Amino acid sequence: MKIAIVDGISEADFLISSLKDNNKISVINRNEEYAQFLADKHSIPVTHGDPCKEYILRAAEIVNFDVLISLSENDADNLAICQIAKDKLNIKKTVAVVENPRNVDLFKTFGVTEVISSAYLASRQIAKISTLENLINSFSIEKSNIEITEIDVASDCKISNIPLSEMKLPSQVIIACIIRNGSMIVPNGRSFVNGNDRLIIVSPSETQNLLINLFTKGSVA
Amino acid sequence: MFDNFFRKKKNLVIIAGASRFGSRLAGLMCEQEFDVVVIDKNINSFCKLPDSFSGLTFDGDASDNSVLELNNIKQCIICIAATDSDTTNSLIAQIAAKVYNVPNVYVRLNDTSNNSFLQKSNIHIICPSDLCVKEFEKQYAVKETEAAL
Repeated sequence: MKIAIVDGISEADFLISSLKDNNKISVINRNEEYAQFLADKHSIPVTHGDPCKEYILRAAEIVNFDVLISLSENDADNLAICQIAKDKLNIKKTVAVVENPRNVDLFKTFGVTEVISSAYLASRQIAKISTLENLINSFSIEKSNIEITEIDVASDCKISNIPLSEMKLPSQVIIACIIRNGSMIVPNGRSFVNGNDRLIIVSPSETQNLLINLFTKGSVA
Repeated sequence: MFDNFFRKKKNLVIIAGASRFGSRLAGLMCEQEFDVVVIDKNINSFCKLPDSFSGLTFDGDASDNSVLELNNIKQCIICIAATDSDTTNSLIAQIAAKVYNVPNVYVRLNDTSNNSFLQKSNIHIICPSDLCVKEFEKQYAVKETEAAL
């Protein structure tokens, strides 16, 4: 994919590092020193200038790119950049990062494809990691009571020698997948759960905490 | 006090940005008996408001729609985006015109090259450099005619 990354300091650097291997990246940054730093570090085309100006974006030759990611500190700038990209440069997908969480819905109605509020995401993530230990990822299915949870099994988990069929799991709980040493195992009743395995579990929301306790502490609550 | 101000207002004008343009406009609109609210992030900017100004000032970010809502943008008949930043003005104009359907939205833009998303019947663009060029042409034309005589 062809991706344009506009403004941003460390987040731009990080994004470029993770995307540059499989994509064509072009960078536009208004900070001259940082633009130079990114060009030297990543050996990719970098344009220095105010990205809110159409001629600067055109100079970066990003017309018809697949994605533009706007990481400027100013929400209004991000909107302007995404709107120019969409209307004038024919970029299919635009992503804006916003400071004010209220701008998430607003910017979508003004035509930005995806809007990310770091404040909103960070607060949600902080709430999650402070309440749930060892939980890597949890995904709620919209409008239902179902959670898909990713759990790392504790190395001293006490139930590791019991086959799944004898494991007295709460009803409606499915261990969908066991990830062991990077490979995937679809479990059956005779499968075992070892310490350090990663499990993907489908369950009702109310049993989520019980399952986390079971696999991370080995105690059945 | 705030509620009282808004309760009886039928001709509310919101001016975003107490720039020189915004401040002078605020004085002018007050003289014409509009009820004016001026919003600016920097309270020192309100020093620029002229003596004729008799409206309210609000210290806040006018590009935040909760600030606009607090200032009763739903009742507002004219909204003027007059901050120093083109992108901020463009955002305020879009919120006023597209979200709150303010009947008359004026937006000051220094660069009018990328305003395709501001093309809506209730948005009017004011560009200082365009106005300067027009004024120059006018004055120059007068001088030419005088010379010819």
